[in-house]
Amino acid sequence: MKRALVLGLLVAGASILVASATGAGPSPGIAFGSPGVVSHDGKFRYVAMRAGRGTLVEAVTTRGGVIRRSRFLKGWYGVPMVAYDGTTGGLARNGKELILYSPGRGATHSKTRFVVLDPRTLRVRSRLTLNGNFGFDALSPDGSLMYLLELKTGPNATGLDYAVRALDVNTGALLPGAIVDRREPDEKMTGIPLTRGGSGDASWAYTLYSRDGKGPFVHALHSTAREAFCIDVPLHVTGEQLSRVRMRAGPGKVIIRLGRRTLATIDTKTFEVR
Amino acid sequence: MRRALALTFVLAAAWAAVAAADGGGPSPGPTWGPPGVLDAGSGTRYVALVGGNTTVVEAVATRGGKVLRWTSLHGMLGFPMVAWDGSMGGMSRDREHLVLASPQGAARWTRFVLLDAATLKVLAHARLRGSWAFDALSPTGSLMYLIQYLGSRGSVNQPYAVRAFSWDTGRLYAGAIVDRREPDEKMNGQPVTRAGSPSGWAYTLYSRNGERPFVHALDTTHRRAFCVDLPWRNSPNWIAVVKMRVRGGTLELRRDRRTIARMDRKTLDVR
Repeated sequence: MKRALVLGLLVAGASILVASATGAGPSPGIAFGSPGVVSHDGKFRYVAMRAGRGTLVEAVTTRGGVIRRSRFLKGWYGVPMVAYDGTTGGLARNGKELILYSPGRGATHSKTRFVVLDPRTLRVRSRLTLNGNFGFDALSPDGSLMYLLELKTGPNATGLDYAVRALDVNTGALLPGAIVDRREPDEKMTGIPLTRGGSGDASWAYTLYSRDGKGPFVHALHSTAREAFCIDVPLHVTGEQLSRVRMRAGPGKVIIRLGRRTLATIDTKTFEVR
Repeated sequence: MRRALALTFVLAAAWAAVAAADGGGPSPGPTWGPPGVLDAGSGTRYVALVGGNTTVVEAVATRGGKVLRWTSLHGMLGFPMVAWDGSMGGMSRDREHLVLASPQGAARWTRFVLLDAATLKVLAHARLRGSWAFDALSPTGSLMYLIQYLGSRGSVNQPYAVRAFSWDTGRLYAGAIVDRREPDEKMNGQPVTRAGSPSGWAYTLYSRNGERPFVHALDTTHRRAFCVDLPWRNSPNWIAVVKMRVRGGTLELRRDRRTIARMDRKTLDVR
């Protein structure tokens, strides 16, 4: 089932240039080239391109395709992908922070490197290095908090298990403890992120995950309050169809769709699924 | 007038900067970043950017700004600017080929790379001894016209020769492309602006210090050229803001949206 789903996702996302060091795990990794990430006002698309042993980061106008700014970084850093449908992240809602990162390589002694850029100038504000394998998950609207998926490694690791962690971007320090659903603190976090929708103010990130042996769930992360909720969502679709499911957050609800068909609606206040 | 003056200053400054960088000469040389080369028909902008010792060539959609395809090339290569008003070259009229050039005068050799525009795959390389600059491409891209610098390194406004290079054979054609009516005329001047015709003519307006400006009419299909003097005694400052356009059998020279001269493209008469 998992293999079929991953294959479906890879086929669905074949047009997207994905460089994932972590394979088909809970983090899709990073993207070079398009789609990059588009600013909230829709005026700029930020893309990262491999250039020899470095990376060219560019701000491209969405009207005209003009490269307004570019900067060369040593090492390979890509735009974070947050779901296998090609959804990307890394740009703060207030437009003042752009995060690129380089996933850890290997199961042990790996380091994950982040670069924090000012999108207006593409100047590097800070560089952060974490020991271990992390994937980018979300940014708070003001860019001060970054949410990461800490990928579990070790002999018993399934490759799909992770913990959601918060990092203070200003200090570069991981905040203690994992972000869990307090209603089910012992629930093991596992799965593959299929698609994502965000609230208009970017304070909520809703991610649809598939799980081996269990039904899909939506991970609702409040990126300002450092809170998360896991919502089981029975969708009654095949694995291949699941790879084509999309999600959109609107006022008071999150709608999960397959094509034009609404599969489920989540009330964002009560987390009730209809 | 103020705009014209400002542009003149800008051009003069750019001129000086390039003169200092590449020893001076008739070509603005390769460029990096915007605006790149625009294929308005397909809505694609081709741009070259340098990072480290690598050039990234990108095809960017003008609607949406998506990077449609991209490739990395070793070394420093840019899309050629062919006139000081920012006119860009390097794309064949059939939109199938792209040419990038290394900076002229930066090394003992000048490099050119021919790319397939649809895939950005490298089709051919050319390496020429000395200082060269890109001038034009034939409509199918099989012929490349180059400016060969003839002066000593570092000299400003140095004389040059227009040469033809075949991408099919990878060789230069013997001899320079000259106006056969005046084969001994020394080529010099600075390209102000460029206009092209669908049949493959490249018209370049040149200004010269203390001399009449002229139009260099290059037939990129048949490897022939004509120099057409314009009816002004010197190259006035305002020549920097003149634009050209091809309208049927006429090349129009325009200033402030008014046509100030017309050149018959067949007889080369200027009115």
